[in-house]
Amino acid sequence: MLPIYLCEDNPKQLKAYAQIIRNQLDFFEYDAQIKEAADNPAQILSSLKRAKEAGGLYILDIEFAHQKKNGLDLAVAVRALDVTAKIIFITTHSEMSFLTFERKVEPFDYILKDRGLERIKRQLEDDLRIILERRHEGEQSSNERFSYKVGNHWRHIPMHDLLFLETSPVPHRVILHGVNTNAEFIGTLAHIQAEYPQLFRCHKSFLINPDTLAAIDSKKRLAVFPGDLTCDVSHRKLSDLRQFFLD
Amino acid sequence: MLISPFKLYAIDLAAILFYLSLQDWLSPLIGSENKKRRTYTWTIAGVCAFALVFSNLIGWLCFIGGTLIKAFKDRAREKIFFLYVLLFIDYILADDSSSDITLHLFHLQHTNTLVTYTWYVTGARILMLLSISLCFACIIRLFLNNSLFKLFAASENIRFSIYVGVSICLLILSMNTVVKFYGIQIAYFSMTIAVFFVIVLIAALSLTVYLKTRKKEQDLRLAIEQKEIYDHYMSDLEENYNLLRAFKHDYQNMLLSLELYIEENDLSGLKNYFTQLKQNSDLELTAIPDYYNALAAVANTSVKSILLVKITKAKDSGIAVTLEVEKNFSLSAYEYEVVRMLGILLDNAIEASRGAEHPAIHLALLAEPGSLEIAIHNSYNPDCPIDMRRLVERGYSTKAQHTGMGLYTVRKIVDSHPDMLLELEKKSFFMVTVTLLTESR
Repeated sequence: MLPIYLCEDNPKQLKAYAQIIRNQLDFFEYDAQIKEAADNPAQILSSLKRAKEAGGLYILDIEFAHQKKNGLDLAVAVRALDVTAKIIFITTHSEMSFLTFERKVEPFDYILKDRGLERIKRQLEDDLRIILERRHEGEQSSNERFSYKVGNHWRHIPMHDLLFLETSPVPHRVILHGVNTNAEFIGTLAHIQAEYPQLFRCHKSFLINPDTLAAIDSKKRLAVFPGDLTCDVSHRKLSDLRQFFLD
Repeated sequence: MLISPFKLYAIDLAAILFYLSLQDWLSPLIGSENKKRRTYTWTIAGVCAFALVFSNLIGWLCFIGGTLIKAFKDRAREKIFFLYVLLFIDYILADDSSSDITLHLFHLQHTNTLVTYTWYVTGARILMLLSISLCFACIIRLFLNNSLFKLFAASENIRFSIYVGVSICLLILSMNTVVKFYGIQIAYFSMTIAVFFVIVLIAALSLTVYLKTRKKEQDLRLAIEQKEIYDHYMSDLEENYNLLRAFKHDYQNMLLSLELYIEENDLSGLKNYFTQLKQNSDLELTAIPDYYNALAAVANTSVKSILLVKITKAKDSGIAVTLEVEKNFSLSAYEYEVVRMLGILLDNAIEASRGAEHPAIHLALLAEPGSLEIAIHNSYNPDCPIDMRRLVERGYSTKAQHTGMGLYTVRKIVDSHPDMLLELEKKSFFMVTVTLLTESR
């Protein structure tokens, strides 16, 4: 069951959102329930701490009158308690800092109050549908993505976008090569290999994703990836890799 | 009769005392009223007397050094120094000319050593020296009171030429000393070295002057640039203010018309008016750029100005820019590096988003416990794809003729600091993130 939390300091709006969601849940008989509809962040957090649920849906306003915490702080706190939380912000345009929110809590969606109630309703309904559909499709998603920590944040890329990992010339650093990503983070290949056994260590300083491997150049002993990316394969691992690839 | 070393010592001491008193005699003329001067004079005399015991060269060096220190201790430093320089020239000229005259007077030869060191010769020489020095001193005293001379002395060029004169005199003096003690060959050799050093000195001086003027020029250019930016900023602020004022004015009008509709109980009219109003206010509210507010939250001035410069540049090329800054974003280190990287990355972003259908740049400076993050998202032209592999290689650029050293430089900066991380991502936007770890791992 999908737990839903609402936080909005205007009681009228709070009631309206709750009604929209309830209607939707009843109509499609979704397996979801509004756990909490609060007008202050503290209530949401205490309720969340009690419930200890993961993967909930949080619909949050950003500015709360007479509150120290704002919606972003709340979202960060929620994210800390519930890593797989889906967060939707409902706010006015002037209160939005899209990029900041994106980087800090990776919200699922933003809904702008300025556009009118009809628009809010439609967007909420769409979001609800998408979240529940994805949820239905399976929980194994955490297994199918690669996570790494940059500074204070976890970043995730789908496994099928990961090409290979490489040790950086800078000590303790790993460079990630993805289809559309190039990132660095602090870590070691050995630890990553232990955590993601599906990756293949083809060289002292390369850990590759066999699923995205395009070809093997046996002569030059290179693993070739889409986008002309290549990495070295050590002599010892070449036959292993070929076996792996053919399977 | 030969002169004993003790008497030579006495002569040198007398000469030093004579010049010290000449200085004291002349210095009140140029307005110096330093009470400590007498103490200095006696100290110099004492030190010189002591130093002369070892060698008359050391004694005279003490004299020159002491005089220089005295000049620098004085309040009218420039003038006193100038006066001493004149006196120094006086001494050298008097010394050389008096010895020449003495040589001619007594028909002295190199072999004629017996005559060279007798009281007659020495007495005549000292007499010459004193009289010529005094003459010069009197001329200087006369000149110092002369307004024309004061005018001359105030001129930078004339002062400079006098300093050049004194350096030449110094060279002659040192040559004479070296010839006296070590012979002509060594003197020649040392003169070559001295000339070499003088040339080096002049080269160094002119280089310094050149660099100074160049720096001045650069500063000036920077100041002009900055002024332009601030002018821009001011006019933008003014424009915003006008917009806000107009909006306020409209707002009052709107309230009034709303009131009228309500009084007349015209609900359909009210609805109509309201939707119209909403559209208009949306338009007007988005016309006000909001990045000034964010800019004010940046604590580091250098970061603020690079952002202002680049945002202005982006705006001028028709790119929509948003800036988000968290309140506690403040760099305690790497200010230079961050400014450099911001400059490069924003230039890249501007260049790339120009080709896009909807040119836009989103910029965020985030503060986290333990790290600072700089995120730049820009739109790009999907028709000229960005090759991720080549992006961090040297010299790669989507700009055909450009050098494309930018991202490479950023990569190099990041690589050389273990607490910086760089991420690139290409989605519907092109995204660059630089993370600065502020806590040790």
